[in-house]
Amino acid sequence: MADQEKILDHLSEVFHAFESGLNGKAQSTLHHFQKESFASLKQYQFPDRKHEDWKYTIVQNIIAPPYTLADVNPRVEIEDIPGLDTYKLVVSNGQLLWDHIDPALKDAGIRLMRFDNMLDDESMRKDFNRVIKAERPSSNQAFAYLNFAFQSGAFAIDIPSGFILDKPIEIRIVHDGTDTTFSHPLYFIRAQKSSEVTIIERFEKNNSALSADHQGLINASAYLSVDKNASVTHYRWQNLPATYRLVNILAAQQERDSRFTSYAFDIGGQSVRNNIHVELEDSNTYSSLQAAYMAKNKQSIDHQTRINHKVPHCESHELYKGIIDDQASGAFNGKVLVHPDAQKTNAFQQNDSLVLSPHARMNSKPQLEIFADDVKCSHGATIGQLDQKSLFYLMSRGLQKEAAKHMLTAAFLAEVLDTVTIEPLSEYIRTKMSIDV
Amino acid sequence: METENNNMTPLLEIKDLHVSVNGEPILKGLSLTVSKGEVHAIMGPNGSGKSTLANVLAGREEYEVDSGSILYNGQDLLELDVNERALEGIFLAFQYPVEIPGVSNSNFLKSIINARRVHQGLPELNALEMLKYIQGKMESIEMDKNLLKRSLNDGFSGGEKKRNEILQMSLLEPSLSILDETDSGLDIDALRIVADGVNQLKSEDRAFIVVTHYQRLLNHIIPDYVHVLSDGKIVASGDKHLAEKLEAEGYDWIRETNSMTA
Repeated sequence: MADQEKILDHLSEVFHAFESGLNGKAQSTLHHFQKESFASLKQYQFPDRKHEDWKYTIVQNIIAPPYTLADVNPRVEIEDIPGLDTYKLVVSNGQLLWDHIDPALKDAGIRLMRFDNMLDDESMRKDFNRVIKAERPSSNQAFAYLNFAFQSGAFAIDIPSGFILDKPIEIRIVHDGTDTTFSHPLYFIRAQKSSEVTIIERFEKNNSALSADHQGLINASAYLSVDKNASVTHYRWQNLPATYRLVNILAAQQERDSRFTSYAFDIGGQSVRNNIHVELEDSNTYSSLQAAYMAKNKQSIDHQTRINHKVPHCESHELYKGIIDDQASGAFNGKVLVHPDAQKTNAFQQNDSLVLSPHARMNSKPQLEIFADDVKCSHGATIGQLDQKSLFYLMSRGLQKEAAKHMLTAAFLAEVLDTVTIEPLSEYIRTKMSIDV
Repeated sequence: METENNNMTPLLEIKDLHVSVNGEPILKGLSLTVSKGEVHAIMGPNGSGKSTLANVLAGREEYEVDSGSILYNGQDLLELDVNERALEGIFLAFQYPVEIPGVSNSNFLKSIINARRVHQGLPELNALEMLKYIQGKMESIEMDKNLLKRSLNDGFSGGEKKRNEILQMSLLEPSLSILDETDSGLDIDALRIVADGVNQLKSEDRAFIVVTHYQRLLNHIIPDYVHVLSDGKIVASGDKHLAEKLEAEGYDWIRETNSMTA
């Protein structure tokens, strides 16, 4: 395919320019990793629209613009979430800003490492490789390797065995530039045996951005190793400028008795593609994936989830709720795989959508593939409009039509938001989604 | 709103009202005048158009007004949106209140109280005043305060839903309350509470239209007028004794009278 060649040619150019800027680091483990990754990217290639996993987000629209790597803008301004106490990290154009690291994090009891140091740390590297090498939908591999190939500013966090971090880690991710640029944020978190950590990832607009309307792609990845009896809660809040594309991979590998909870909240961006992959490596795990999103204007928000039940006695829950308005489009493609050995699996998946405009579109594809016979699994999807009887009821009590609609859309998303236990975060999201009723 | 609010102007004046649903005529020339201070009971067999009348007054869109007029306080009611009718003091207690998961009952009550107050030119109540106001009314209708914390009507029993309707009515203090079979499915205690809610609100300035299939609610809410609706028209009107006659003799004699006059 000619387009594909053109894209890869362009990326090769950008990659060589990137390599030549590495100076003395050309022989490092990191450089080896980058080169290998770029080779893998060429091998996998980007999926086209015929690919079932990319039917509703046009890959060309995301990857075709001639991106160059964005320089780091060290001036990053993001509003604090009122009342939320966190350890803050800032990632600007894919680079962790070491000057911006919350000083308190040094004494917090965890290890924060540069990516190149992590690759040289045998134990960390082993775990990182284990998580990234897990079986993934091949359709996303090009983006995963694109991220690795251009890696220079990633970081890793190691939560020691039995350690419970007292506050959430807040990772603020911004992209910035004047031209058509991309960036590749990446981090790896290892939650060791019986540890507990909460991550709040925020994709935000930089209030000190160099340009307000340049085209950008954030191709972000996060990998999580959730060891025995560990507990990881991952919140992702996304409110990017309307000219930005986002491809996001969140991959978690869960060991015995572990718990993993993921929340995804999207209101920004132009074309957003979220991929979550959960690998269940051992028994008695609990996984919960939830999302609330609101697509307006011509936005496209596309969720792809994969939960791989490989072993018995695991439980997973998925609840994705979206509001699609104007000419926006939404997609949900969720797959739960239950392998032959995964008896006594409990897996529940639900995607509910409210489509508010005749020009808005929602495509939902909940899938269960079950190869075991003693399981409890369910999946479902609903796509509907606001309930006219409810609207009438509220208006018959004196509420204006807009206020009544607002109350109902808020109620629709409340099922997800009500389970957010961090009160200031939940308040903030409700306010930003303007569902604070 | 400029109206002559003297005693001569009825609160509600329905003239020769024809209403259809999906092209099928339901109300076929209904006329009714309700003045302030009055309680009117509308009785009649199933399918006679009782609920249609209640819903048309509240402004439900599926009900097509083909001809006739409705004046409320001298104003053309059909010109008003659903929410405007409520703000002007019309309240419909629904036969089947909807359940709305995710909308907290207390936030809902606060919103509707303040919407009405703002419309009346009154200051909004602050959180404390609001709580006192709502809890006071809840006590007076013996309603469990825990229902405030729940989602609107979500998982409420039939009786709790009806009680929540009466609570909203008490809080909004409407000029014209329409109770659409609020008594159906209630046990005797709940029935008494509904009736108490109405009786507490009764005043010279307010009127009630009580739509019911049975006479038993009218033992507790004494109507000034009883109207019998049959095939989309009022076929008989009288005082409370008419309700007793209906209870004793059923609706058959009405149907016979009706077919003879038709």
